[in-house]
Amino acid sequence: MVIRFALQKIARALVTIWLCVTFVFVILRLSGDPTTTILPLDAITEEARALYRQRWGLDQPIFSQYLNYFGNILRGDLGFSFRDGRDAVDVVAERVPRTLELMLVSAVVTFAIGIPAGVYAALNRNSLADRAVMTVAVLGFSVPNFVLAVLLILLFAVTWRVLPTSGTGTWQHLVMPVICLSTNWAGVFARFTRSAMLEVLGRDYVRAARARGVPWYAAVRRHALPNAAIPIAAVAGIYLGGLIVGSLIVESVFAWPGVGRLLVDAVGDRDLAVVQVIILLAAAAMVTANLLIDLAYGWLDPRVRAVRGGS
Amino acid sequence: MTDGDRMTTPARSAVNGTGLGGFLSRYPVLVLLAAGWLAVIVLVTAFAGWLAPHDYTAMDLRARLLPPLFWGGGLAHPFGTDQLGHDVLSRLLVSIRLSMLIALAGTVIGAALGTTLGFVAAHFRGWVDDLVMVLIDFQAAMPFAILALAVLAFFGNSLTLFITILGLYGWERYARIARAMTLSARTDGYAMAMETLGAGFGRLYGRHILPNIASALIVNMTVNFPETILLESALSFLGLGIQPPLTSLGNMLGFGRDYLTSAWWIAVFPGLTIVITVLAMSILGDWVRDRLDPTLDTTR
Repeated sequence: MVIRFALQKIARALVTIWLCVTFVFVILRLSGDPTTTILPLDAITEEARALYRQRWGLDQPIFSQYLNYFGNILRGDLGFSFRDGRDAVDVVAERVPRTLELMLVSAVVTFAIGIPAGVYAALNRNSLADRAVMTVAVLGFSVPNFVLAVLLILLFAVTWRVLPTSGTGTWQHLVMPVICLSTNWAGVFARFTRSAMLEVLGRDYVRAARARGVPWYAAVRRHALPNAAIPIAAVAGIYLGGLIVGSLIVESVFAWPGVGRLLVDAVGDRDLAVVQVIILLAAAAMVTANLLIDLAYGWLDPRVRAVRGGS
Repeated sequence: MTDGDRMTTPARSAVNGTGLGGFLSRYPVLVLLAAGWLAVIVLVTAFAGWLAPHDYTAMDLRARLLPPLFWGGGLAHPFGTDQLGHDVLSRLLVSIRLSMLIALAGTVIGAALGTTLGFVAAHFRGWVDDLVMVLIDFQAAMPFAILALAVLAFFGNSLTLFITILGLYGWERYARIARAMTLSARTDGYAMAMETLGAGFGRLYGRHILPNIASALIVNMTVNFPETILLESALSFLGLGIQPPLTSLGNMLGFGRDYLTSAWWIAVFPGLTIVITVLAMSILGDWVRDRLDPTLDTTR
């Protein structure tokens, strides 16, 4: 049962990856003759084109091109950056640690604020504190991060002159990007945690625990939170997507040398090989995360395993 | 006044309340403010060309970076001017119009496409249904902005392509709703009756099933519309969406970002407009949803 459940999820993950590679292949072919879009302008001679066509198999039928394309991806051969002629995979890989740094710090901040705020609001349901927390949460996820970025720069860098607007290196450089990347999702998690907790707090097992004389914090930690974690985990997959999209904007605004900024620059310059690598990377990250969440979901909640695996 | 009136009137007012108090309990202040703001946005969208005090492309190089009215500026440019001497107020009005129209077009395209695919999946079942479901899962698993950027990178930017991309945003949610609700509608008597009577695909779905599932689709549109505004603004902000000489809220904010130290007003007015508009839409949307569907848990 468990193995079948896991295999189903893995099969779906592979289908998603395959669709994503196909999507990139199709738009790459639809967007015109790759020799005019991928080769640098000054390198276009007829010999270069012919060589390129031959090397990439563009003179072959479309189906074998498609198979070759898969082969190239499996070998990690994804072409060269149009701007500096380096291997596109290397160009992207050297930017990954910076993005991970930003995302990790931001995720810690998001969870550290959002989840306790939601638990607190649920425990004090309909009180003034609950309303205050929820109002802040609604504001938090309503302010788009690019507007927030501009307002933060105006406040911290222009008016008070306490934080640098761009670059990396010190902890001060992290402050504004992390605030921008965390605010929306801290609000989302606060709201989500609150409703997940409210759902669970009224359940018999929590009331029974309280009736047995278990103190409230132990009842929350041992009985309510683990059950509330199931719906919260379901949001985590969407959250990673949010982090990826958020990092595009935040890295661009604050000149953070990560993958998000690289993608925005590469799209602007139509550096297709780099764009392609980043899309596949994002797809792989999303699919892996969703797969892990699905599996963790089955582990967190044995009922899911039984229902989904059996259907 | 008849006896009947005298008897029903007090009862009705006891339920709904009379005067200002009753009015406010039915329409909370926040909802009224949100509705008022959105009414202004609709008026601006309709009449931006007439309302704008200046031509939004008119440059006045002698009047560059003038501050707004209460920050030392004059009545000629109440919201100040930008780095090229464009009137910020005029550009803001025209930007609101373009952002709203694009988001509207995007929402309508997405709703039409997603609903049609949902109908097709539910009608044919079998491998068609499987294919649509796989596409829905794929779309839901990938961050849309990444796919949008890929298309923009490969095809270059044009307004038509940009609106098409925004139209694709969120199609999978309409498709899911339309598919699920159609599957249950097809077991209802009316749909089966129409099919037995020989109604074609267009007639069965357009005239009979669509009106029955429209409210769920409309609720999804109220969520999708502000999201489309945000996607358009974000891409334009990054310089990958609306291109000059056209101007949208995100594109104004993006250009204003470079002048934050000397001229905050270029970025702040469009930025606040985006925030307030999206907030107003979510406040009004929540309120409408609560009224339309009393079974929803309003405390969530």
